[in-house]
Amino acid sequence: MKKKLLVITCILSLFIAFTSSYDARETEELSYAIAIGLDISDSEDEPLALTLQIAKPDSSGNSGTKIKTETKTVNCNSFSLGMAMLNLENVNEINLSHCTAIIISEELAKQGIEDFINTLANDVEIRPTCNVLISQGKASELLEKASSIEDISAKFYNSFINSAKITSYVATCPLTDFYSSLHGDIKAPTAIYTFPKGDTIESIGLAVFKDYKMVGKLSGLDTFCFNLLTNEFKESTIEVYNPKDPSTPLSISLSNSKNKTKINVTLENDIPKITCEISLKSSILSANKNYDYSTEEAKREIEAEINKFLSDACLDFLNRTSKEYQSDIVGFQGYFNKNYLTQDELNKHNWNELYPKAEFEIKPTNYLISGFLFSKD
Amino acid sequence: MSVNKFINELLSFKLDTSHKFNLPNSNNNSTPETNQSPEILTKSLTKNLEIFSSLYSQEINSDICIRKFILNSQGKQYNASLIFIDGLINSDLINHFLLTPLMHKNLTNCENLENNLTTNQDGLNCRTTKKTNLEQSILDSLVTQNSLSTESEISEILNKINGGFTCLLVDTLDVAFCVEAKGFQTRSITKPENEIVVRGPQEAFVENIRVNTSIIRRAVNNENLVIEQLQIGNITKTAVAFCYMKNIANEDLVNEVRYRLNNVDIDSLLSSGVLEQLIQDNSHVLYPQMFATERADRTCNNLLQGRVIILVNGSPYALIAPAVLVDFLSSPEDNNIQYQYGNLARIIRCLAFFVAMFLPSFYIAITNFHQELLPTDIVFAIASMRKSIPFPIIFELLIMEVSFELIREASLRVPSPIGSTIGIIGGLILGEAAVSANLVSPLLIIIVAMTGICSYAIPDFSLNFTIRCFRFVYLILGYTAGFLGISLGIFIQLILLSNLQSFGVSYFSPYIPIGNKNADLSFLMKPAWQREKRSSFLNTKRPKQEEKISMKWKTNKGVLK
Amino acid sequence: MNFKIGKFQAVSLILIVMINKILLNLPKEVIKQSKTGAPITIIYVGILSLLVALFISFLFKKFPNEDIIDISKFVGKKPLQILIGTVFIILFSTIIITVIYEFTNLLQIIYFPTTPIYLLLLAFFLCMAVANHVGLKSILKTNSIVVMLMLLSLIVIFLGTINNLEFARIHPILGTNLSNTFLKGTENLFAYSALLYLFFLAPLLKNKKDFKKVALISTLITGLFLVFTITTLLTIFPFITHSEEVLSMYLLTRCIEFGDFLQRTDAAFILLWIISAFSYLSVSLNFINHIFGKLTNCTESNSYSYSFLGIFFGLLILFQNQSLFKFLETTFYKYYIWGTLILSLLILIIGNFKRKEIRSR
Repeated sequence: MKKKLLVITCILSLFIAFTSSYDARETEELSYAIAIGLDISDSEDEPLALTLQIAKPDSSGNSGTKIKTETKTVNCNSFSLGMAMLNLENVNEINLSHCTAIIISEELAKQGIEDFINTLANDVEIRPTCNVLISQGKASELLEKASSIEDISAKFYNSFINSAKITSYVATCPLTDFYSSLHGDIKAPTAIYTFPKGDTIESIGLAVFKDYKMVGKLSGLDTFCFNLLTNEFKESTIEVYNPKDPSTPLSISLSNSKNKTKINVTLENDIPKITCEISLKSSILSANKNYDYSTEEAKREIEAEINKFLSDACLDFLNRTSKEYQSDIVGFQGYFNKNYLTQDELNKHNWNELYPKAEFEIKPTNYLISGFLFSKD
Repeated sequence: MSVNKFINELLSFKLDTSHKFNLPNSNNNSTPETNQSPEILTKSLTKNLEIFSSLYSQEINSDICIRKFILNSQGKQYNASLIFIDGLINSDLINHFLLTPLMHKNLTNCENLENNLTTNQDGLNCRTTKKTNLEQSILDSLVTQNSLSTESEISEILNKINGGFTCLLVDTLDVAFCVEAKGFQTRSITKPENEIVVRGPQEAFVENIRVNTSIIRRAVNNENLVIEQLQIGNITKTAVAFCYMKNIANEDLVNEVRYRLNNVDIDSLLSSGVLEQLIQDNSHVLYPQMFATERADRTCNNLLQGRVIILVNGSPYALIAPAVLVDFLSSPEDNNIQYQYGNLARIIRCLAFFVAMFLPSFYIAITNFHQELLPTDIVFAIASMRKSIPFPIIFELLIMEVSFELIREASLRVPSPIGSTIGIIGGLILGEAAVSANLVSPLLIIIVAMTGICSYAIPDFSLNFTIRCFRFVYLILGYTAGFLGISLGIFIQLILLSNLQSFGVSYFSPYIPIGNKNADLSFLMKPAWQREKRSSFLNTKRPKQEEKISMKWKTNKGVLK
Repeated sequence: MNFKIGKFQAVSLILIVMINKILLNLPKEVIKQSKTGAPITIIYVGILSLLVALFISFLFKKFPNEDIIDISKFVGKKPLQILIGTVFIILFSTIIITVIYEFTNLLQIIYFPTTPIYLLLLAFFLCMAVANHVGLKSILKTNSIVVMLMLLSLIVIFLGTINNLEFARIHPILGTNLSNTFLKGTENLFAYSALLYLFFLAPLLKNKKDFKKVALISTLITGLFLVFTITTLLTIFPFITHSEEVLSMYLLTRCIEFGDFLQRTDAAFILLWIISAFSYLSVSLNFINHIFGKLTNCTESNSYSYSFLGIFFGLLILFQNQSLFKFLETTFYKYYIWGTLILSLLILIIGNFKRKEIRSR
């Protein structure tokens, strides 16, 4: 009997002691931020401006998946302090566990993101899969634009990035990857480049970082090449010169073939030679009148045009990253490391110094398949 | 005047005439055991009758009948009497086949000399005269009944009379003849009501133990079936039978069952549910350790697997021992249908088991501690639904769970004509009104309803209770410490369950410790032609129950022609 | 211990040690030591440990019903037995203390930032006390269920993170240099510390012939899972070679995504991990109890455990010092395991010779 009493008191005391007064938070006691915005503030004492896009649960009950959001901004010294200040302002405790985007203004990114990116990556609540975005103007303005959209979905940022991915003009940049790239990785960090457009926001291209600073941006076509080289490419549409009818360009749909892009990096006289073999499937989307594309000759001609387009675009992109930005965002360092078995051998070379001198060679191949219902109009 | 009367009534002494009764608390009114009556019968009928009428308090006991008459035997007349209990006997039988032959002076009753004429070795007719033995002649020629025994111990005779036997006492004899002329009203064999299957025999046990054993005997149809019978209960002396297959069941298991049954010392035993609690291994663990079934086919199936069946007179449920966890998740239906269907049903039941036990606790743990686990849309939906609810989630959940349990309990007890109203009231109040009154959120109704449906999907009644109890425990654990609390609960439960044994068989068999999973008692069934072995945890005498190739017609090898 | 266990339970006894070591930053220790060469090192060390396991099973052939404590008594009478017993008790105690510390620390950081630490500790101690009360037999049974679940969860983690793997990150494949990977890498044998439990396995086994099989199977599975985790960690988090984080495996679970719907499933894994930690702790505590019982010639009681629990609770309440536990977990543990392994092997070898001598006489 004594034993039973002991056990019961033990369990009871555990229950009572644990009672949820400590760490339990009911869902409605929390405010969920779906995006974080970071800017340079106007005041000098507090250099950082933190903006949160917070979801406002709708008490009507039948809200479905659409929500309303509002933005709140404070000036602060650091991210954690800013969060504390926003918590003061907000009725409910702010929870970041459903945050899907971190938006940093271009101005701030160019100044350096060292101060807060480690805090963000270390935060228990923020998802490691949350995307890093760079906004053209102020991040707070972008968020305000986003929240002014009537009834946006909670997955707004994820879905608009995913839809942009179909064009291959954007690449996802999750926080973990971003963080990894900053800390001794084989590639340099990138972030999605976003800007407001009309009533909504649009993202196209990438922001290129070198260490903690943004050094430049890539256009949509560059990002397309980036995706090709990092094997993230799914599908895209391009326009190439039409050998039969120079006045109207030919629309080509590209999709990835089973063969992955092969990259080989060798060192010759201290100059890295990088060869990339790209292979794709292509199909013609636009049909010109009275011309049959199904002949062997036409096929070869168009394939050559596509290859030319690809190699031009990729070379342009690679030269820009190596010569202008000096930032190895594709991750050629990994392929370079492959040539060495031990770190000691590798340490004789400094890739960061070698990369700007790199010479590129692109070997595109593509296989044209018919994309028509009619082969001839 | 009236004031005067009022004052009189108020103040005058009045005798309290209302009836009051208090059961005395002290035990001093218990009569000392007056069990000094002789243990065996005497030769005097009057004395014997005195004994019985005092034992049965015949003067005040309405259904005890003592019929006195004169018995004719071999030309002599004796005083005799029948003792029986009205309502337990068949009067027609007694009238025609007991009283008639005993009272009439018929041929057999007389000393017929012709019958005794025999031819001896020398070819001479001579008469062999028997010494008149009354007892023998009653046994041999007077009582025309198939089931007859002679008893001389009074306690035995009492047992027989209580069991519906008719007892014949004859003057000058110190034995009583106990004639089986039972004739009481019993329920006839009906369809099972609580374990319904579509395919399979529709025969359920009844209260009478003999009928039940006969059902088993008919189905098993083998001489190796042993039905041992004993009595439990100092007062009721309830007949309890345990059955096993002599050539299959493990000897130790049978001995253990026999040992436990023989060592139950109680006054009364009225149902198998009580017996189950009396002989199970561990009564503190909430899990059932024997399963009770009213289905004859299920019982026989288990009997042939090498288990022991325990039947209790007066209870239409057979107890099957040993039972392991997977048994409670299987239904008698599973064996009768294709194994794929059976397995699908079992997987669904297993799912139901976990959902019924854990869903509310996971809901509360996730919404209070681990909000990031839920998809964003659902979190927002929950938050917006709960915006106008005044209670914390735990309170909300407890209200709903408790009222659900109340409805369940009420609808079980309510007389069937008004049973449907309970459902209407419950559905209306708890579903519709509670939500529109903003007492609970709609999502919570879904959670509770889901839990309820899942708990009904569990085929076993006792396991259902287990789940209901643990659901509340996990609810509290999930509320206090989220997943930490739940994992604490799961671990302790696993530890306790690992420790649990049902008649020497580990409760997690055949999985832990690993046994043979070929048999059809593991969680997922093999096809009927592959159930070659009996469960190894039963350690049977006949481990094989099927030939390696059971479908001989398919291979053409060794076909029985 | 008056019961016997089968092969499956024996293997899972060894595996629970491995699983908890994997959860508790062991892969990271290896990665820190051998950098990108870690997968190769761990395979190489795995082969070494297979040999050691074979050697141990060979040495135990002559002692089918004795564990290391009995053998030490046979070799060096009571003093040696007490020495070896204390060595193992200290080992298991540090294991228990560090495991509890790491887990409560993780829980406090992630879910219970404001809950007092003693409450979290209490949950662990309650479980251990209940498990100890019920006894080793049930713990081992439970353990085999938990191990199956854990292996499954580890496989789910690998599958869930397969999209994030970037194999280019494991180059250069041989790590810093050859001597670091292979010579100094031998130090990583401590990764297979589950081998130490082999010393207690012999008397528990139902079938003595299974000893070799158990040793081999468990070492193989351990090696396989270690290689998988180390490769996964290395190819997803390149920063792991020089960062300090709570639990590296926790970082992995945060990355798991199954479509848009199931994200951030880490809490579910934490649930399983806590159960596995409970199991591991209970096993270790029971071994302490068993050894202590043997030293005091009273093996049937399990009440020493409660006093040990009291001591551990006090120690954990008193020393909430991260650097101390880091030291215990990495440096101390590493060398202590080496010491214990060599000492036990020596005793086994001497025991074998002694037995031979007695037989020849």
